[in-house]
Amino acid sequence: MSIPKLSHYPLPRAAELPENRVDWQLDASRAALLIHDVQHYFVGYYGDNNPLIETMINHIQRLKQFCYEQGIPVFYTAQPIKQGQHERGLLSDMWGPGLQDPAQQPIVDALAPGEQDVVLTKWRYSAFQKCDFEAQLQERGRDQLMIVGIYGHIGVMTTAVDAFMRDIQPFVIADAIADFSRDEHLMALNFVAGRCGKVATVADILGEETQDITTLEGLKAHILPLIDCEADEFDEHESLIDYGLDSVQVMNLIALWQQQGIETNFIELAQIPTLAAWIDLLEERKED
Amino acid sequence: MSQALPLTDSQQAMWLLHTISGRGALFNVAECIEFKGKVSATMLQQAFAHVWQSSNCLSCRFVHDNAFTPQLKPYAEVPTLDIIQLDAQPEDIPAFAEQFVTPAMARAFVLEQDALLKLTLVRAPEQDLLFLVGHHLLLDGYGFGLFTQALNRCYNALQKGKPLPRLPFGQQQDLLTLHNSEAYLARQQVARATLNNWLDGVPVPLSFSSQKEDVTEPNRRLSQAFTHTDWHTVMSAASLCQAGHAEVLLASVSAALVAKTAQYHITLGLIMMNRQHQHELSTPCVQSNVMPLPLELATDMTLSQCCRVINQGIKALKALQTYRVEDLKRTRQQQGKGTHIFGPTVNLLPFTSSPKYGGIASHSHILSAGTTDDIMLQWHLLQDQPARLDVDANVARYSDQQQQQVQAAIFRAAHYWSQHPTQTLGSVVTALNGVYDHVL
Repeated sequence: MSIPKLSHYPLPRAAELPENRVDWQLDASRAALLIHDVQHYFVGYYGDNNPLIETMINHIQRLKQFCYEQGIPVFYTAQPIKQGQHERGLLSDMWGPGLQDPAQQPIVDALAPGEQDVVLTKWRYSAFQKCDFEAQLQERGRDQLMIVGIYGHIGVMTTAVDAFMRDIQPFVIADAIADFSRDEHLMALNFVAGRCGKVATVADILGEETQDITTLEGLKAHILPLIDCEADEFDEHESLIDYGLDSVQVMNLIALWQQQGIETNFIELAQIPTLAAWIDLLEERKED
Repeated sequence: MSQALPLTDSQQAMWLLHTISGRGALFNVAECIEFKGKVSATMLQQAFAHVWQSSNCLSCRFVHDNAFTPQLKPYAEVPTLDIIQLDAQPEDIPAFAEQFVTPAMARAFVLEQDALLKLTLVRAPEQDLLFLVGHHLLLDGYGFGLFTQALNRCYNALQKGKPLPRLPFGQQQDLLTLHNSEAYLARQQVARATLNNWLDGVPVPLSFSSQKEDVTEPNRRLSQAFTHTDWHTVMSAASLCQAGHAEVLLASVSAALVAKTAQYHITLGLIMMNRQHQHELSTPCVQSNVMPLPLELATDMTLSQCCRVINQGIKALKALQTYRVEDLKRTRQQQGKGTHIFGPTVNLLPFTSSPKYGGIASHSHILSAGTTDDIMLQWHLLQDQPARLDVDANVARYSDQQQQQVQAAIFRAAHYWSQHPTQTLGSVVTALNGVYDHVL
């Protein structure tokens, strides 16, 4: 009845994200940030020192700092303890009695709300339900909402749908949410990108560049640490197998390229094992 | 008539194993390409003929003289693609493939007479299946990949009405020249000394069974794949440990072995590609080697530390992989030392791909990558799917239940350690408590 014990998984990379149907641009004067349900209670299901949660929290911290710098208001949701049957409604049938222990109610320490932040009481999946969130956004002239936190395919996705239906543009930050599983995480992103919002990464919001491993420079930067080689000692026309790149590392690269829609396989790469030849092959495949 | 050529060390080793075992079928290997629709048998035969004739490492026979010196004799005739029609669609393709290939796997090739690869196209109403049964002397896992990729390329050329491509395959003479070069031989000498030195310093390797029995019948296979959720956790743990997922899988195997043997200094047998030079990478032949991978583990090691030991061990082995395991065993025997040089064998198989044949998708099933007299753990590293483990065991050494216990221990170790990568090997061993006692 309760939430299952949750594990960690790799957060999706930029290349894995679904294509957005909308081309909304985030505007600091219109935007707000919602940090969704990052309470001890919900985070606790991931266990201590969970790398997924540690990364998510780190990403939210960076976004929150960005918002402070840009004058973007920061909102939190937090569910109350010991909700009565009337207050909790059908959530009880689905998830049991929910949060009971007062010690589990606060937001996790690493993301503790600041004085200027607003903490909303959360009653249902969507942060807008039974709450004046929409009015608070209107009051501040905000009609764009970045959503981060847990759980991706439940509250985060539902809040995005609800925002969309209120003509508020939701931006779900793909690498600043966590979910029950990677499949559910990706399902939520697919739904949002295709039906109600825009999916972005922390780097997109902060305007940081990400490494493109289909270009010579990007691939070189990715491979050099794998083969413990300095850039000035590396020749892209020499065999990578001589440099010590192994079959499993090649498989990892194949999987990363596949995420960008480029199909290759181990055998064809092994027959032309130089970085320069791989770039030529990738260029050919991009054209295909 | 083309001239007969000597064998490479790898071919020589396989030839000898086949000849002295008296049970050549043990060295058969098999793969099934499952087409997700119907293909053209004529184009497949034409493509096969072109690939076959593109390297004398394929289009050959392995003959020997009266002194039993084997040679590779080029032999141009192309084997015929057998065709079998099925009236009904098989419900479970992997189960059907395994059952279908069993009689062919039980038949030994006659090395001096037979083409060492047999192709059979099984035509079901809705889809076709191509069975490739070969002798390990002809092709290893990488060799199969090279062969099937060329087959696909040629088929697609025919399908588009284009000329058959020139295949950049290496020839037997290229390999011989490389393997007789001074640099190659010098590297082998270093490898010989280093490996012997290593083995002198490690305890007698233990496996999941302490029994010693010869292979009396085909290995029994047990297969299991990770769930998506568990696989994502393995990948996340690997990323966290700055390791590859293969190292996490090897760490899990190691933990399962430590839990079984209570020995923290273990030696796995790692099947290595043993192809570094361009000629080796472009020649469809046998070249792989099994290397002892000694791992000095400790009870207080975290997953990250264990992965690092494995990574360093594999890196060190890369330079030594040209020295053949059979020669290593022979050397040790001559020195009066034990020839049992590793425990369970691990094979990491990243060679599968799913190319389209004239628009028809395909999927490759590796049915057998060889026979083991102990236990072989084959990790299929698939591009977009969770890894699958085939546990192949010598039925004379492992009961059904023991084999299931090994499988369960490895998956339990992978699950536990990936979930808790900062936990120590000792705690993983504790978490595996009882796994070898329970009836599963």
